[in-house]
Amino acid sequence: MYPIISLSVTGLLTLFLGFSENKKIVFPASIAFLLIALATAFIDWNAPGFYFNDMLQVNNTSIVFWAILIISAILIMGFSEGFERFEFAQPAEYFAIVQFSLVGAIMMVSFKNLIMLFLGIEILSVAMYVLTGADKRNIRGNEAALKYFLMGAFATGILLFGMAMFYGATGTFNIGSGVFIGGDNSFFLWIGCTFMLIGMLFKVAAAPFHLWTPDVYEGAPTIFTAYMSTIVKTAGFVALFKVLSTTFSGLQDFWWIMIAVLVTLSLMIGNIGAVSQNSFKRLMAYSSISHAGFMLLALLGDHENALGSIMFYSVVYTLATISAFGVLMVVSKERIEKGRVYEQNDLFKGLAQNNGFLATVLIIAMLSLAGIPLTGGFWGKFFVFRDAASSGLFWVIIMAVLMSAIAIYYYFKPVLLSMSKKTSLESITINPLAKFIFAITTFGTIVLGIFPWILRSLF
Amino acid sequence: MEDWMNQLDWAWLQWLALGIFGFGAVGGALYLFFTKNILYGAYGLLTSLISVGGLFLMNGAEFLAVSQIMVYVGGILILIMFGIMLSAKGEKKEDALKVVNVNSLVSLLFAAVMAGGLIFYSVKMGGSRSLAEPSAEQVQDLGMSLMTTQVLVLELVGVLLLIVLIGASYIAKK
Repeated sequence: MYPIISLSVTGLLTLFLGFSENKKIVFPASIAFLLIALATAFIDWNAPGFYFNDMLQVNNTSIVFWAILIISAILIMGFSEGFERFEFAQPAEYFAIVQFSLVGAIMMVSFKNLIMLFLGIEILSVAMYVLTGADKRNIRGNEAALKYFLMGAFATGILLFGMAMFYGATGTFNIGSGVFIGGDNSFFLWIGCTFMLIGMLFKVAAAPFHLWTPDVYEGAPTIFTAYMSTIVKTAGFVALFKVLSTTFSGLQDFWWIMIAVLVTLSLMIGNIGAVSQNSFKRLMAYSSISHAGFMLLALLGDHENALGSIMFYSVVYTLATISAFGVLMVVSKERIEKGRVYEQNDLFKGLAQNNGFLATVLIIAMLSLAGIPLTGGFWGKFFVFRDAASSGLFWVIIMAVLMSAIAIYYYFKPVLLSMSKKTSLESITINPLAKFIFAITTFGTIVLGIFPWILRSLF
Repeated sequence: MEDWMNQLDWAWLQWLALGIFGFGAVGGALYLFFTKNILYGAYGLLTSLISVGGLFLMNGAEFLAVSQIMVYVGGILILIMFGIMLSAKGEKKEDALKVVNVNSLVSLLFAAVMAGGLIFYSVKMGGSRSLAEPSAEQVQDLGMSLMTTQVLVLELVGVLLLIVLIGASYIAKK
């Protein structure tokens, strides 16, 4: 509850800071505001309860997710330091939108009422539409923002229609208040469940609702691509889990087959689509579709463990993704072609020789995304596979393992390129803050790969 | 006797109004579907939307009627009008925006299925559900609950609209 208030207020303060002559103050102030929000999150630790007539539910689980979201935002925002580029021409607006968008993400992980879920998704999505088009002079960015906005608006409409059907069938917006299954209204409940799932799966980029992902990831400025693929995904999956495990748990016979088919589709489209990509950001986009498939696997299993698995998977995925996009941001600004930064895979050619530190960060991130043991990604996959196995869905697991094997091929493309002898770049400058963030994300990936129970035992 | 007469007159008037609004809603939509002139189409949509607002009013949903008129007629339709005015800038008549119906068969089929489903379910549920008695304090109750039990929703809608405003100015600014 408190981070919502804190972030709304500090978002406004950030806008006022934009009036000051010295724009440099906005960045440190925003980081400080995010740290304040992080601190206020823990006021409710060990004091579970409901706020505002059962609108929001706060417990230790949701506080852990708040912390994950806010820390990810801080890590990503750290990369905007020292950039004197077009997307930061109006730093106050940009940092304010980031803080407001976190309000939406926080609502999505702690809602108790579907109105809160809808508002949370909307706040986060509208912020994302704006941030995607933040680089106004980039025609690809404009295209991406328009595509994302139009498709997202339709997805929102479908989600809202599903909620209306749910309300019609049950007479309440509260989740987990003992929904009556069967009878005359079950038809509307099915429609409601299906349409709400479609709306939410669109936001987390699961196939077949993934069509926007490659274009939007490629067109958006890299820092927001990182933001989109970590924070939106984490919040979206928690929201999906909450809806499916509470309200629709009685309908499990109805939706599990849908989720199983979506897992298969996401894994196939994500992994096979990624193989032929030359642009690093498109590769990461397809990889994010496939990771959505892996995270959906957790929903197929026993609900006792699922939230822990989703939490672990989102943390390791977030750490690896921030590393990967961070390296891309740092390296790509060294090579400008036709006025744009160069973002193809062969940008990383000879990185190991040129800058060993960045190459190590990139390699560990790629290994973790591919799920190689001794990195966090291995345990993330292990936990979701175990969840799915507990419900006996072995055909889905065999599919997932096969697709992980394909994933190794395309994740190794940038790794092998970075090992090559010939380098296309001169020296690369990294500012100390970026170095610090890389150290955190890489260290985190390895620690979670060796001692996964540090995080897993929280639940 | 006097009372009974009054009641009869009232019921007759109610049915007439319901008929007019129903005819307006369907007729406006059909006109929009078949017309070739986009501006006339917008007027057809206007008729249809106002009539739907009237239907809400006839069924005791005053707040819904007012918001229908405010949002659709006052907001969205004006946007459509501006869109037409700003984009149809041709010198000759042929340069004006052309209206082409794509997939009219599929969309008619879809509409028929939707209408069939709605009629089926409203007939099926007709006996089991009765309309809530319209109360004079409906809007007042809504306002009270928005300021007391639902106040978080109100505040967060404020945050959403603020983002939209910032985003619009951010995108539009040079």
